[in-house]
Amino acid sequence: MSVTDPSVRPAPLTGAVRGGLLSHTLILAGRNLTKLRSAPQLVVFSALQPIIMMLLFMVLFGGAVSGSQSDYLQFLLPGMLAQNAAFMVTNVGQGINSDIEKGIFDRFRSLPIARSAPLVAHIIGDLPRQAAATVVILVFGFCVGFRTHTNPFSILVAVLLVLLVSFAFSWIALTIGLVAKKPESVSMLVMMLLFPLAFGSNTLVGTSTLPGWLQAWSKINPVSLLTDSIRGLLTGPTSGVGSHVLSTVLACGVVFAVFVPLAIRAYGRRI
Amino acid sequence: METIRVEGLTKSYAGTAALSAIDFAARAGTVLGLLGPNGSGKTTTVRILSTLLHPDEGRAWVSGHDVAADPDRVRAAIGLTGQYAAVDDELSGQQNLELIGRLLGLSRAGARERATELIERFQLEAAARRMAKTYSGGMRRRLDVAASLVGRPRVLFLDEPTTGLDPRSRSEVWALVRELVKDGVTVLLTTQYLEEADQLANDLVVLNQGRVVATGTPTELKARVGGLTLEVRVLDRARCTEVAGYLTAISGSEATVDQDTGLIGAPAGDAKSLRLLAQRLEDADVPFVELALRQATLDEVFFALTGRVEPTAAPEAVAAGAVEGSHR
Repeated sequence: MSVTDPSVRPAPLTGAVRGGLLSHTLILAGRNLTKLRSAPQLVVFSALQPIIMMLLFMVLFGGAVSGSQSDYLQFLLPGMLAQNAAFMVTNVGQGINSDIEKGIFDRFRSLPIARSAPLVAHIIGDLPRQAAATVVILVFGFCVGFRTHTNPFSILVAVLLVLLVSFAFSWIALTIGLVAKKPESVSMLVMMLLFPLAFGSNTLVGTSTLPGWLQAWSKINPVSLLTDSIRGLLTGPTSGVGSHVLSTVLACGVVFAVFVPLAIRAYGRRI
Repeated sequence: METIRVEGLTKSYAGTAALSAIDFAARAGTVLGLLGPNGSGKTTTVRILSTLLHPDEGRAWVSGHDVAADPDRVRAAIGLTGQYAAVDDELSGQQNLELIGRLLGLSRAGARERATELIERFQLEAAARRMAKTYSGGMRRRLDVAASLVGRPRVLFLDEPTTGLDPRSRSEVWALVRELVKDGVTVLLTTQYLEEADQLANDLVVLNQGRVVATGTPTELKARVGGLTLEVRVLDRARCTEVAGYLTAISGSEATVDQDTGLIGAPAGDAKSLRLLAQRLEDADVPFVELALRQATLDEVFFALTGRVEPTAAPEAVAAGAVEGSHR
């Protein structure tokens, strides 16, 4: 058959076609970094909402919960960091959904690159923004009176733990982004799923004040576990923080175990 | 020599057949036009050939590689421009192209060089550093086509590349396709614009409801449907009926009068009829603004093949049928 005619110049296979998952993922993730560089205000925008909420809660509940606003801030800030680990993954779901919607995904899939690279890139690519937003919230907290009682290493571990949890939650957002029909419905669906995680927790008030059924949920809620870990890591006491961190990591493992396969399945169906 | 070959390609979505065993082939270095109305299976065909979709049955080869068995080699040989401009709005034109170059294994410098080259070729220099969301429709489309050319593909798929473009941008895309073919690229182009197919395609495959209803060169298809048509438009509308009579006498078949345009037409056997009609009009002293002998248009071919009635022809067809009926 003439289509297999050797005189038809075979297209050169770029070396990276197979086994290029890492390099392709990093190149695609670099897309987000490029955007962040050309619009650094994005970081401030993503930190703005949690900062406003933090100030609001501090002013409204400070007196009632802790007797003073400054005491409450010590309790509240770690909770806000943990809540935001959940909320800030919305971007991941919207990003992948809009790529599919606009046909950008088709272009990537028509290139000789690793199949899952465009998928994983959305998660990896959003991490720098999430890290920057977390740091901005923390720094803002310092400005309004938050004080740590531990060492810089603990603070670093706290930030990394936030990123691990948001990395896990990213798979939830990714799954939703792959299932949702429109980008607009992504943020709503992600919010609906993340609300019980963010608020059914010890982020705003101590678990002991919650009704029994909510206490039960709060005790296994990754956001609560993360909050406990951050409180220990930033304000102490550091005793027992190891087990909090371990529980948080285990909870992330559960999220991975459930949502990585779900996302991959949704990916297979969507494309 | 065939660069694209399709055999018995079949695909259905949830029980609805999108493609029913279609066959066609595209010769190397030519433009194959896939012509058909909405929902005829054009995009499904392109998606299968560009490895985005698996066929239910049948096989397809692009550049000698089986799309199902060896998708990576097919991907390395093709460029795809889908129906919607697939560019990242929040990246600049240059950054969009560099991203594709990097993914294709070019070094940072190599990707930059290739991007700059394409930016120049597509006359996007002034906008190269601007975010793509600020581009006009035509510029976006040019960037989109440029993105599909980063890897110097030997086969290019263009899915309705001019839909939604203004006439100027459209002719720019046409010029581009001609240029690519000159470089030896094989182009598969889908379109619902007959003029576009006529302008660009060396060969045509007409699809309707997932089936191939005709293949051939535009000229062949036009010749198949109808011979020549003799048309005249007179200055004085009042004399339309009179002239229709002359034309009927010369043609031997009933002349039709388009009430909107005043165009009077009838099938013509050969070029002699043109001379006869000109003579007759002169003898009767009828001034005319237009007198032409033309081949059937691709529109007529299309409507004949896909069984859709040409809107302007509909009332006449009905009228002719009624007359015929009354004679029986």
